[in-house]
Amino acid sequence: MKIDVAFNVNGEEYQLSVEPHRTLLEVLRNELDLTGTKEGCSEGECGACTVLVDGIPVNSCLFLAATANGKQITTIEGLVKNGELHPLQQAFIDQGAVQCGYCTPGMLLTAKALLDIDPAPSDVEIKRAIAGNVCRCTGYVKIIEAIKVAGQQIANGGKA
Amino acid sequence: MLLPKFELLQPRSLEEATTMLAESNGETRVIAGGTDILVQMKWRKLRPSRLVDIKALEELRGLRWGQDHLRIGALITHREIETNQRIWDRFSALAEACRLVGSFQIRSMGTIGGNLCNAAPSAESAPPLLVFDAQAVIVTADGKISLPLEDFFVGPGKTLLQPRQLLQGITLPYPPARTGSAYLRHSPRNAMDIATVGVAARVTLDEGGATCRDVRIALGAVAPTPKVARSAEEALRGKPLQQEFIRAAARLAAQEAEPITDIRASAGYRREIVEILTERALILAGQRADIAP
Amino acid sequence: MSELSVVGKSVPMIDAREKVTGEAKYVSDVKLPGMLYGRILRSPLPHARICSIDTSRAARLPGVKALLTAHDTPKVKFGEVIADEFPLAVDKVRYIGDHVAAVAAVSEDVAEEALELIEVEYDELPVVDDPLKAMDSDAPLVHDVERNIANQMSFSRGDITQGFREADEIIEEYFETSLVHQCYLEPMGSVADYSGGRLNWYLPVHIPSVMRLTYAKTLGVSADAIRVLSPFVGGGFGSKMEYAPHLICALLSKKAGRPVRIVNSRVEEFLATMPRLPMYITLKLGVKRDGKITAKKTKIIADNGAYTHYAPPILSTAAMRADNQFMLENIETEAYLVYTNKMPTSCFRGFGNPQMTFALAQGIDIVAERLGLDPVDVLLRNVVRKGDVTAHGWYMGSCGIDECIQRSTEEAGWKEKRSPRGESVTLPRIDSTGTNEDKRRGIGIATCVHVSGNRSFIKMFEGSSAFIRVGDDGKPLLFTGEVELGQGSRTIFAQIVAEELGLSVDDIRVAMLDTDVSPFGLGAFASRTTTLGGKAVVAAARDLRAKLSVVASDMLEANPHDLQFAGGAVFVKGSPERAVPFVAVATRAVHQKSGSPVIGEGSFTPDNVVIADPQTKFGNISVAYSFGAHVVEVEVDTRTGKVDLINYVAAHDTGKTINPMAAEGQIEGGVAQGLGYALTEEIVIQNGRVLNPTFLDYRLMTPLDLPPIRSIFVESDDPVGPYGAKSLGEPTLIPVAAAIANAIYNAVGVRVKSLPITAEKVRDALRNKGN
Repeated sequence: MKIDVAFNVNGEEYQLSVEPHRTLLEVLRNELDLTGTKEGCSEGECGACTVLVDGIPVNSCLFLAATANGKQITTIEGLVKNGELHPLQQAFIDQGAVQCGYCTPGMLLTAKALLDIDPAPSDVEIKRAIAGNVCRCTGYVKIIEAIKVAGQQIANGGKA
Repeated sequence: MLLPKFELLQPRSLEEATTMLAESNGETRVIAGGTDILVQMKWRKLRPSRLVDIKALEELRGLRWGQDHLRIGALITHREIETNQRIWDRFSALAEACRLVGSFQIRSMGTIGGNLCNAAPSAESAPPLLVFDAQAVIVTADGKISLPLEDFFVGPGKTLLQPRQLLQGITLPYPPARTGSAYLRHSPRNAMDIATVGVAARVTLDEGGATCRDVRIALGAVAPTPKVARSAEEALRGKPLQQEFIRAAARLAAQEAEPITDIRASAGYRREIVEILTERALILAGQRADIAP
Repeated sequence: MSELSVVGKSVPMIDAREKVTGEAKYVSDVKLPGMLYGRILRSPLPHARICSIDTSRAARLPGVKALLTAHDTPKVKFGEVIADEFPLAVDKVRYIGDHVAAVAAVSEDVAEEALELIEVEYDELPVVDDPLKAMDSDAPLVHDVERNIANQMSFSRGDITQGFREADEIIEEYFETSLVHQCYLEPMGSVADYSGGRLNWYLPVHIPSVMRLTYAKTLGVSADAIRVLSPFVGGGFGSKMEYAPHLICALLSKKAGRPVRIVNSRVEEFLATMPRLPMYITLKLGVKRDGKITAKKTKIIADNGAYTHYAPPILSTAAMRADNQFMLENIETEAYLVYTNKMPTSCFRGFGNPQMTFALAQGIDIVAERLGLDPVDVLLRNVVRKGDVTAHGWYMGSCGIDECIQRSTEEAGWKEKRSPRGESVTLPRIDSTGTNEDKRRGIGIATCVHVSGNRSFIKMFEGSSAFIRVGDDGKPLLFTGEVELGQGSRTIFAQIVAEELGLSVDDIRVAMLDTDVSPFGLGAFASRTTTLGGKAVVAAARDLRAKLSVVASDMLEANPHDLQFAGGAVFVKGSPERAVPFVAVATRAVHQKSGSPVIGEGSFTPDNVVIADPQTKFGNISVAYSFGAHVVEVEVDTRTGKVDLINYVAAHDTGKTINPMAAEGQIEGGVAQGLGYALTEEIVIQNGRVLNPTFLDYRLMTPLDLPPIRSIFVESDDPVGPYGAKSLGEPTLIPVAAAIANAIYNAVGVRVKSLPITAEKVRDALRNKGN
């Protein structure tokens, strides 16, 4: 039996009727065509599907869409505001933190969740925060650097 | 990987939840954070026909600092514990263990109640809770019962919970003054791993700081359930917290372990690690006790 | 060389914006009208005869639009080197995950349900999953091939007997490397759309142009009936090559008359793709007292898995490539490739070179200790220099290996840290990872050589081509046959075009590969893209510049040869005020030809490479060779055996670093992969069954495990490569595992010769030593 849910994705309200076994990842990608959120492992180990639910980073592959009623969801498509990149997005570009790009959306949302709590995290805090986002290309060095740079920019009054 | 189909129930109250559980025909399972059960369902290791989502139940939420104990609601996430300074101050081993669980995302989704009810022998939160003499509070059709967490675990993936029951939360008595605790884990990686061996230790020193007035040691991933190393505790209780006694206790802990060989490590290696980590956890807990108020 | 303005600069990736916004479309994001979802029924058994397949129940399931078994597929085996695999298994399955049947349905749910309704009856056969046992005369046969030997080779140089006779010390050691997965984050997949009698195929792969030909042959169609398009690719590291599910996807689409998408799950990735060849290596080295190597004898047995992909050339790479960093004279090598009931093994960053380097670089460390020498001195005593020709016929047009060794050891503090072995950290402090009294630090080094393209790999030709189209918008659009997989090739090429045309990188667009339009390119393998593709792009840009110069010379009333392209303008050399904007020149050129775009064409065909002799393997196979030296410092817990990584320095001879930021990214990523290979990663198989098909138990290093990684570039200015540039992508992984093993030995005096070097293995070795 389908379940009616209403939630907000990137500022837009959606009312959907979803089957209980549909994950938020499946609904975002297949029904809302928000394909920026990626599937990498489907069991919460790689972080490619990370989105923010009420500001909290979750593996959308392990989040039942039917339980998202009333939630505020942010996906990668919601990071650009008024045509401007989020400081994290700009820093990822500038610091060379993007290679194949498949981990990038999930990585950015995890990083956003971290910087929303603390724009000046230590290296260890950054590493601990992104440990659940597998990047097979970069060795993480430039990702960590980019998160630091973005945090500084946010702390100095850039947009968050 | 796709989930199998199931019916989802979303009770609004504890009463409604227990009724739903009581009325269940076919296999019904409880879902909270979902980080364990949904993975098992994707692998078709579990195929419940109904899931009862308990996330809306107020009675299972929150941390309550009582007169003599802390109550942790079953829905409290690992992340909430990891980021709580008062828990770091009083129950360091628990905070330490919760910080080692999964990822930022998993810690934000996964609940303490889920971690315990999933009853993995390697559950990170279990050894620290055991050394703090945690009680499990269980909601039954006839009211609440409270029992030592140690008795809650029955076997790998098995708890005392009956189909109609729910874990409401955990209570932890405040440890006495001059108590320190530590949780150490051995795993190939420093994150995103589960314990090959986990050891929690709690040490309460006497007034002079030389003698171990009380000590608790619990082991993870080396027995069918998280396990209290009783003979090791007894060997150290009342003794000075010195290397020879610590080592003797650690050896006993290793003997008490009942490890298996699996893909993560051999039984023999696990037993050795129990000894090493017990020794180190005791030293660390002792140091923390020494500076504790 | 004149001053460069774009090449050599750290330019952000030109496609990074699409990737950070989530706009970049990967194959799993391709959704065509009417598209179906394909799933593959895989063998649950490692070795069995297929008695019958009954799809009738699945066929009746509403929503199922096509079903395939081997009956429906062409009986043409595919495989670039040894054709031994059908798109769907015929008569027999040979590993758990082997392709048995397939379905296309209106949703993933229905496809999944349909698989459960297909009934297959199997007769189990005896299983062999150990390549050493597979060579026994009474071992079960995976194919009808004697002793399961798929391929073997042996060759020698000089006089091995004399070489060992001259030696003052001889060592013989045995090494084992592991089965590791590339673990690109984007699983393999494709979207096939048979329409209008033609197959439009989204294939995120390394070698699309070549695979189009191979697949046309298997499908029994002419190549022009297939159009391959490259979407964004979520990492490859060697893996995304010929793959049966691509063909299955195409066949399903043909049968259903609708587009079909098949994308692997992560579990399927671990069960049924093509991870790295495990190798079992016996290495014997003879050395003179001064460290000069006099003889090297090697025997390699490699695990091919159930079918042959690129394992034969990978084995020959293992058999000889690492030799070429040294001036060896006497070499004897025999190597065997053996079938087992496991997934096929194939390409992964380094292509056989990391396996042999794991053995050889430890061999150097072992002989150095025997001789009482610093391994750095032994390396420097033996390494090749510019102008040398190695025992295998490789000509070193440029060579910076000695400088890599010197600079990496200096940067890492080799002299201060190398001795005495097992120096303990003095602070008596306890932290969550152990008491410091239990810990010992050590430092180790390993070096490597690699190719920049390999003439012997795909034998059609070597080299590359490109063209640049400029329309009336005046913006160059580059088409190349080479492929972007995330390594940054489009950015490197854009830099080259910008450099040659005096534009900024932002002015350049680089087309995604489309075989209807793009040049035929060999693709991304053998670290060839920057060197060979880059040369072609230089040529195309210069051709375009020459054509535009003619037009600009009219506009500026100057001799075309006196013109300079810089700052977005064309001007007369020495008179920058006599300038016209680049866009104006391009527009004029297009209008002069009634709208026809100006096309700059370029190709590069190297004249100094040969296909190595198939028997002797002798010959100069690559236009340029690149080198690296890695120095790593580790801390070993002497009680648990756990290895912590303290510091990492990687020096690479890139010839010329076209984009330092991108190049650092290659090093950091390659080193991280290598560290996983060294310490934590392994697909564990028991009785043909993968025990750890998840990221939980297949352990990739996390940021909390990795050390600081410092990159050093040695620029040896290769005479052939574009601006002097050579390869970098693969070398970054090659020496890592050996450097770690050597550092652990330096720390605690035990040597683990099998990968991965787990804490338990280190602990066992310490115990055997008597700790």
